[in-house]
Amino acid sequence: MNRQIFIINDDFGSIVFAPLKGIVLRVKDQKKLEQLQRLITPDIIDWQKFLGIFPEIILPSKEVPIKKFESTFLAGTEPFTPVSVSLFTTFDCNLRCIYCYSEAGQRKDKMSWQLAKNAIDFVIGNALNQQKKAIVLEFHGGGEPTYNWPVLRQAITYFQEKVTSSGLKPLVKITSNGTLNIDKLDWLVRQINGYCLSFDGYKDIQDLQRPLKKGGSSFKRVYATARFLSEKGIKFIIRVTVTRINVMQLPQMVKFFCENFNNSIIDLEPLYYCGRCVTSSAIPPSPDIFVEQFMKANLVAASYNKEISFSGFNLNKLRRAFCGVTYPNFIVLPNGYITACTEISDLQNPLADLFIYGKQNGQSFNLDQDKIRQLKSLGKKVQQDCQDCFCQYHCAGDCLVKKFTPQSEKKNSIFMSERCLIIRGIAKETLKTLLGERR
Amino acid sequence: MREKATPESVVVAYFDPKLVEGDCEACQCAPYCACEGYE
Repeated sequence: MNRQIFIINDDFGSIVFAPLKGIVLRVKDQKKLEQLQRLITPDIIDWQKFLGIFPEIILPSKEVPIKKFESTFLAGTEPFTPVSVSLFTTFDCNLRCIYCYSEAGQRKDKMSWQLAKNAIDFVIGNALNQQKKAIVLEFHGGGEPTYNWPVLRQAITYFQEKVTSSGLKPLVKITSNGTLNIDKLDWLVRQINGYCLSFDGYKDIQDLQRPLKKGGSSFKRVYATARFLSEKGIKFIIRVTVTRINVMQLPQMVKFFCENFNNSIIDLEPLYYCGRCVTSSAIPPSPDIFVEQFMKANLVAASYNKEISFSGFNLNKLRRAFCGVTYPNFIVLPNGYITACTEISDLQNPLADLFIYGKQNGQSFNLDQDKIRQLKSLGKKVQQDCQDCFCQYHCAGDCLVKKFTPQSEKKNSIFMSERCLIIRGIAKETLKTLLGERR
Repeated sequence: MREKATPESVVVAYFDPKLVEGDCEACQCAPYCACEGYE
């Protein structure tokens, strides 16, 4: 099977897609397609013969070599020693988002300063041993990271001082619900390199999907945060969770974000049915409607000279892994356990045995190297499952957690999920846009 | 940047694919992040 050229059929004919070379063709000539079919049957394609069929093509001087995808990139160092860390400072939260994967607020655990310090010391030691130049400290949830302010503040200060004095470059990132008061926010943004703000749109949607824990509006505070970041000239990500409630309003929502927040990067992510969705009214958007609205929203963003993003597909960004889960990520939970995925933080979760791979042990951490090997091999398995799919270099098999849930089903050797439909839909429409077929 | 060629039966377009490599590849926020790498 050939993994360098894909033929995608639709109502208008066929799109020929060479993702590693950056070429896309609309072909309506059946004869040329038949010639191409014969050419791509073997594993290795003869590009001179390809040019014989399509002489109008200019092959690129540079391409992403296919061998990069065949290398043992997942092997890493043995045994695995993490060089960056993500801290869940708490499982508690001041919001009760109707779709929260973590059902934040149900568990109240807060991370101790000693645990945060141990984790930071651990990765700095590893990074020095591996002669790294930079280390990332990230805050995520779980719960809302700023809800354990004393530990968050102390961890950032300590991390920056210790990393800098070790001759490394400290990088701090946070994903937050944006409800922190402005004084604290002002301090925080001076310390960090990346801010991802969860924000679902204008007032009625934000308040419906992301209410305060006792009910009531979170919009005013989150809007104030976004305005503050914008006015300070800080580049930040607005991460929108798209449900059946707000999917039809995506173009208007993107307009609202573009008009109000200059430096924002707008990331639209379809809801995945999990966590609090079970007890709330949150339902994922249907894949075809999400794709259609995403593309309309993209046009709106383009009119403001901006782009929107979606984690599953970015035409110019090729990947060998969807995220660091198979590396794996070193995510420290408030109770001292280590998980590879932000979405798997509860020992009762059916996937916990797969993703939770370590625990604090005194001032250090015990990491189960067998589980780590298993995680790495999962990445490879997903690659194999997806090897017929034209999106394989873009989504790299997509999110493993979403792959390994009962909502996925295997169809025609492609591990197809609702997210696969979205990824492939956005990919197809993006290619059509590039070909000038969408306005 | 290559030019578009548009004969009758074939329309060609190009893009510029880049592989995410290095530490960004091992980052949990890689799918969402807009940073351009950090080493």
